[in-house]
Amino acid sequence: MEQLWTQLALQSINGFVLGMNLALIASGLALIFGVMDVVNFAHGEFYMLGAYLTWLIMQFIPSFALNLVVAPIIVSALGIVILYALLKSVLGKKAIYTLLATYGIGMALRELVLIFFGGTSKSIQPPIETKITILTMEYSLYRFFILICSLLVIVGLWLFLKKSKYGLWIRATAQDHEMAAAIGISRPLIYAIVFGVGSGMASIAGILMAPLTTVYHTMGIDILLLAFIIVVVGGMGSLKGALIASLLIGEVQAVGSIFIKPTYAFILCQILLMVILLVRPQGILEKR
Amino acid sequence: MLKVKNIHTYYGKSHILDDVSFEVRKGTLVSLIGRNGVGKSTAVKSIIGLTPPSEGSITFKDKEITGLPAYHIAKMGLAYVPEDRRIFPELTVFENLMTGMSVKKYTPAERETNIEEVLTYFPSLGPRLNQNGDTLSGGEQQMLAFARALVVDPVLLLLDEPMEGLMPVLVSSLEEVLKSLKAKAKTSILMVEQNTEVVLSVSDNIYIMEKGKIKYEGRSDDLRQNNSVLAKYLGV
Repeated sequence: MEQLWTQLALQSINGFVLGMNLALIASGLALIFGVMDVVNFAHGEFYMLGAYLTWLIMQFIPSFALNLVVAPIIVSALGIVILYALLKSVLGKKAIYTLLATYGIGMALRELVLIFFGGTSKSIQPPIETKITILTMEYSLYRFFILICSLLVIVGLWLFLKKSKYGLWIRATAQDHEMAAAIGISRPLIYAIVFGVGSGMASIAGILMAPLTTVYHTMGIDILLLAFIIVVVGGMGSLKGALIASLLIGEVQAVGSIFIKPTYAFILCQILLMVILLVRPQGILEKR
Repeated sequence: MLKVKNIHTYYGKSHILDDVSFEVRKGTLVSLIGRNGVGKSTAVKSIIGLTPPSEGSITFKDKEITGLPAYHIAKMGLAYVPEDRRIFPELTVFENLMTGMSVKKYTPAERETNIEEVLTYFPSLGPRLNQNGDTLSGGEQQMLAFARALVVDPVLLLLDEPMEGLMPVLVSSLEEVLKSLKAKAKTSILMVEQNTEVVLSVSDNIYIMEKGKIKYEGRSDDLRQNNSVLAKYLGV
């Protein structure tokens, strides 16, 4: 019985860690959809690029902390370049255009990574290998590091949106992009910020998770499916909704894994989310 | 100040504005009037860049603004109060006022002064600065839309049916605001409005539109005397 309680405690923490990491990806996806009306099928690739960049930079400069700063900047910049080089012409058109364009961009990025890095998965040493004892079991301190970093980024995003001039412009554009433009808010600038921030957040999620999983070129596809479910269940474009849905998924998956196989826990998550959508088709929260 | 010359604007294949020309001189209040669906709102949207004309020219302070993006035109000193208010519902009243001001380079002191000044026109917004826009009544939302445009100290104010759906007391209050703005002569105004009485009372010049064309132009004093025109185009 004591072991079960210990497992429950550890898996709850794991669920929180996973949930917060998912929230990093889903928040970016929700932000991009909420402001730009773009369903970004390439979002998972920014997560994957974050992980690959970390592996690459670590070969030359073995500093994980440096990676956490440099890699998101590179991925954000790449996101903005992709936005203006490849996506600009389809923005504002029917959803199918942006959907196909981002799907194509995602595919191209995966193939480029495959060509450049090869098909063998990579592994990254966790920057913190210390373990602590929780109840009777050992637990990696690095997972707490993921939790704290994810929390800091989410709080940072919230402060940015609520307190900064650009955050005000982003919120205004999300609510009425035409009126925001008529007031003098530059839509190209807002789109660049939003796409850059979204891509950067996905890459931070990838960087943080890389030491716990292997790094492979299709890792973005798996996580993207979850992120999409979270965004839909949270309420399309709602950041708070995405956060709640991320934590819910993280917890159900982690705690569920104690009683059933992890694969079944993933299916359980999807069943739960379908039930939520049946009860609240608009998602947990509406766009804010 | 603003010169609109021979513009043609389309919505898809519909020809909404057909060779429309008019002018707003510095410090004047010009009204575009006419029945519903004659293209008045489209004319204003064409100026601010939301429905750019496909032919013709719009100049503001002798600079060509035809086809420029809306955000660029707004930064030149034009402010727009749309027909259906379109405040940002999930921003507070204060944030709504800040959206336009944050685009321009005001010092914090200037911002404070501008907000104080605009609240003298619309004092009912004062106690509601921290409320979300969507919690305001329809009339207060209209005041907010007006205040959001005025707070940036515009050179040219574009008003699209500002009195629509307002209680008579609010109409009078907005009329007073317009008269006060005119008296200061700092801001030129182009107004689209259906309320003929208000239009005749506050405007310097009036243009009457029908089926996407300008059918009459003249001073408001002249139009007030011209019963045949009033009856023909406005049913007054």
